Amino acid sequence: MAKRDLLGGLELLVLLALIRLRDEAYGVPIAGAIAQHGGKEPALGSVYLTLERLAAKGLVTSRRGEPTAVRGGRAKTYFRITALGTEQVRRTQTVLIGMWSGLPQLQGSP
Amino acid sequence: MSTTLPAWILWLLDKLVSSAYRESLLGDLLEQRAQGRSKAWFTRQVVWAVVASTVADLRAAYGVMLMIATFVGLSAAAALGTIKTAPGLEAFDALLPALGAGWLVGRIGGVSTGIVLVGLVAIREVPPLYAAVMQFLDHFGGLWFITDHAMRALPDSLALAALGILASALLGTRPRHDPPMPAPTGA
Repeated sequence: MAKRDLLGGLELLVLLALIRLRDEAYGVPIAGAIAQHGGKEPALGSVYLTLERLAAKGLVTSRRGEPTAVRGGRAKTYFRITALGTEQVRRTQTVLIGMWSGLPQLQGSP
Repeated sequence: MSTTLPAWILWLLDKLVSSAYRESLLGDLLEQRAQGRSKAWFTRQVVWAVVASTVADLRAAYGVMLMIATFVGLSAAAALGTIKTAPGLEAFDALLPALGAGWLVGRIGGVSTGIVLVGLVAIREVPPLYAAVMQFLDHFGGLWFITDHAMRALPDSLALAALGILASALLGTRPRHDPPMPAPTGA
C-alpha cells in the first residue's frame, strides 16, 4: 500500500468524528467528539487546518450554514466525509489492525 | 456572556491566519466564548491558530522557511554579538532586519504593507518615538536588543526588505478567503 494512502493521527480522528456527527459536523462538535472519546481536545485552528488538508485531498466536502448573531454574523461550515475519505479510513484501519495483531505487549485491556 | 473581544485579537486572527476556513474558525471561537469559554481560552486558541497556520505555510513554502530560519539564526547570533565582531559579515547587519521585516510585512500584506513600512521608518527617524518604543520593548527583557539592532540597520535594508516582501508574497501566502461552497440549506 502506498504511504500516501495512510492518514495522519489527527486526520484519522477528524474523519472518524465526521462519520459520527453526520450532518452536524463543524469545528466545535468535531473537537468535542475527539475529546469525548478520550483524546485531548484539539485546538480549533488545528481542526480547521486538518479539514483544509483533507478537503484538498478530496476526502471531505463542505457546505455553508446560516450566519448567526452569536457567531458575530459568521456562518458555520459543515463538513462531510466523501466516499474516498471513507475508503481511506478503512485502509488505515486495516493497516493499524494488521500492525496491532500478534503483539503480546498489546494484548488485553489498556 | 459578552462576545466583545479586543480588536487586536480579531486583527491578529484576520491577518496572520491564512486558513481557508478562517471566518468559520472565528465564528466557532465567538460561539464558544458566548457559551462560557474564558477570554484566556479564546486568546490561546487564536495564538495557536496563528502558530499552526504559520507552520502550515512554512511547510508549503520552503523558501520562506529558509528566510525565517536565517532571521532567527542571525537574531540569535546578533544577540550574542558574534556577527558584530566577525569580520566581513557586516552585510548581515542589514540582512537581519530585512529578512524579518520582509517576512512580517509580506505576511500582513495589502494596504498594511505601506503602513508598516512607513511606521518602521518613522520610529527609526523620530527620536522621541524611537525612545518610547524602545522603552516599551524593554518590558520584554532581551527582545529590545534585537529590535534595537534591527531598527538601527533598517534604513540600509529597505531594499532587501522589499525583496523579502516579494518573496513572502510569492511563496508564503495561501488563499485568505473561504472557498466557494454550495448555497446555505438552512442548517
